[in-house]
Amino acid sequence: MEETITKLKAKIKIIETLCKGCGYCIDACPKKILEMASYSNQSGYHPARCIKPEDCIGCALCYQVCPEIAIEVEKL
Amino acid sequence: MKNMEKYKMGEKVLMKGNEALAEGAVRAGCRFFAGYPITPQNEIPEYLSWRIFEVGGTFIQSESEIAAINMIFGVAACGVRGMTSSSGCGISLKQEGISYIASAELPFFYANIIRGGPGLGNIAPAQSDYFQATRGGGHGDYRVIVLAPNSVTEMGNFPKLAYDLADKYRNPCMVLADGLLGQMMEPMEFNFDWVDPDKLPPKDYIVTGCKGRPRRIINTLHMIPSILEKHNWHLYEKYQRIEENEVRFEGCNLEDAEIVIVAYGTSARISTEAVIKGRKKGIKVGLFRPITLWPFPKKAINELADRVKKLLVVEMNMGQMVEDVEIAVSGKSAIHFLGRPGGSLPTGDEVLDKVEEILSKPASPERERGK
Amino acid sequence: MGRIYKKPVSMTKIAMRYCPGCGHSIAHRLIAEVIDELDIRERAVGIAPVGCSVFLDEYMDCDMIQVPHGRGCASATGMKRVRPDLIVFSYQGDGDLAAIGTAETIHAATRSENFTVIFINNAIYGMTGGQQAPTTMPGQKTTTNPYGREVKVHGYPIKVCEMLSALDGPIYLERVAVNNVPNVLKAKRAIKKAFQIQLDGLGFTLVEILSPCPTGWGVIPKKACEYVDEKMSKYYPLGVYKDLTKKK
Ligand SMILES: Cc1ncc(C[n+]2csc(CCOP(=O)(O)OP(=O)(O)O)c2C)c(N)n1
Ligand code: SF4
Repeated sequence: MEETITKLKAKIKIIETLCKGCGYCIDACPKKILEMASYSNQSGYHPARCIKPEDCIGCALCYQVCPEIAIEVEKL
Repeated sequence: MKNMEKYKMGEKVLMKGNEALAEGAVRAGCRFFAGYPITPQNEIPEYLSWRIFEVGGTFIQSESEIAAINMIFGVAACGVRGMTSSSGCGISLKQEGISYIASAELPFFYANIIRGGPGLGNIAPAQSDYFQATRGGGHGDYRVIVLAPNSVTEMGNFPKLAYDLADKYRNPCMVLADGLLGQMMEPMEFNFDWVDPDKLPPKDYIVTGCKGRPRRIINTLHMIPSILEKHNWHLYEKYQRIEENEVRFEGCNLEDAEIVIVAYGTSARISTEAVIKGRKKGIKVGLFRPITLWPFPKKAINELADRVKKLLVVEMNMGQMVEDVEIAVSGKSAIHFLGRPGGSLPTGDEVLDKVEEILSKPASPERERGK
Repeated sequence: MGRIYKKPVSMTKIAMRYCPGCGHSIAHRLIAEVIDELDIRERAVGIAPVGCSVFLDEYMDCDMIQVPHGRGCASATGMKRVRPDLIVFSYQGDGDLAAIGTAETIHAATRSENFTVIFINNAIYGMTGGQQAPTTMPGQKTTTNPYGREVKVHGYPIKVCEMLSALDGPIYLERVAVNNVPNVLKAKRAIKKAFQIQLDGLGFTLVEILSPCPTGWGVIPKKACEYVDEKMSKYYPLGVYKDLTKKK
């Protein structure tokens, strides 16, 4: 059997409680794997969430534009 | 290290009041001055513009009084003895900054060499800024310690007292004088040893980089009313302690006096002449001179009013300290007032005439207005 | 091996209370990253202004002081003169720096005081509710320009970098923006350069940051970033206005 699991390039973590839903990260992501959640956080904002973490390449462009520092990215 | 001390302690020197104040500040450890020219205090920055460099300090002629006071805010925040001086409208411009520094509880020293007001007024000696000085001066509920010298010796020695009080209570402290005291020359002597600023006790509230300790914040914004209220009450307690411990005054010929003149600074000097002349004529007149205008010697004046039924307040304004005297006396004695606003000086004879006039009439509980 | 992007060490854990999409928070993070990278946290003293960023002192994990509206450059002058070993930065909005504090700014610049100013130009008074700033552009609506800024009535905006570049004192003046990834990265390089110049003892540095204020401008965050590109950076061109580091 061949190895099917591709190696993760990066880990992305969105701290939803800090997010204010400005959407900057969604526009910044070159892989277009971020979107606005349909639910809201305790402050009433729709937080950003990552729909395909395995596609994250760790460029951290979302981190660069996030005003709340609500995104942590680790390039593996 | 070379000797930076210009005059020995106790050495008699002939000096101008403003220069004595400036030298006194340097002697007391002042290493930063910022200010903006205004008469009649210009000798202070002019003197410090060279003198402070001799002792390794810095002088800035700032773009405005507002800039000057905020430079001092930064300097005090770093724990260095800084100073500014001005007069009249210049002190008005500094009030916002003084209020911030008082709230932040940082020590510093400043001088108001009062000129006549309101508005641009004139450059003659006056005492028209008594209210401004003794009520804090700026916005909000705060006080500054106010020292009122009446000689060149005191002009030279009060900066040390001011810095020590400022450090002790973490509060601004000022000298309130006028152009006459600032510009007259007389023999004076420094009564304190040269202060080495490096040897002053360390301050644990200043911002100098957080190496080896948690960070510090100097802040005057307290958005939550209960927190600001707590801060206000904390300041209030401090002011109470100052009122209890730091009142300073001087009396002369009080023991048998039938009438006592209450005056400070230049008007006290003039009144001394009236007392001397009056005594020669056999008039039982004394002088009570507040040295701290805030804290005001309320208790001492109240006690004085138990014995002396006639008080004459002499001021170079339309009547400011007289209100504090009224509060202190609380109706126990008659209070009379002699005021010369606008930069005019009363003469010793004028004061004595007033004394004699008051003594010739029965004591009335009403304060007499005007000249 | 891999790099971790997360909150800089020079920031506290306190969550920032700015509006969604506000440029202040990005600017804060960039300063903190620079302080981390230059390893100057323990020598740094920051000055918080009066304005939306009045709470900067809560967010930065270094010694901080909050000073009267517009007076950052004066207080920084005092600090730096008596403690030249400190790394002092004054963070100021456009009302703070270019209206009430214009004199302090110009004179600190012309004296070439050795500290760094981070100047947030959002063309509006954010904290007091979106009134006209000295940087509000002609035609721009604010709560005190309901029909748009009329230059015949209110005069023209002040272009701070251009104005200061006429002085001999400043060492480094650059205008950047924080409205997209490339601009954020450039902004950080500018801030780092300014701090490095201060470390080298060369003199006055100021980085002007065009910063979105979605609330004050009455637009959604995304539109605010577009506005920075389409309107603001046309009126306030990005770039280096002065750099004397090579000459000195
Ligand atoms: C002497 C003084 N005047 C006015 C104010 C009220 N005030 C607080 S913030 C502010 C405007 C700040 O605008 P800006 O500097 O552009 O910063 P922003 O809020 O946009 O970040 C004003 C006028 C004050 N605090 N002090
Ligand atoms: S009003 Fe503008 S500058 Fe102030 S926090 Fe909101 S977006 Fe930021």
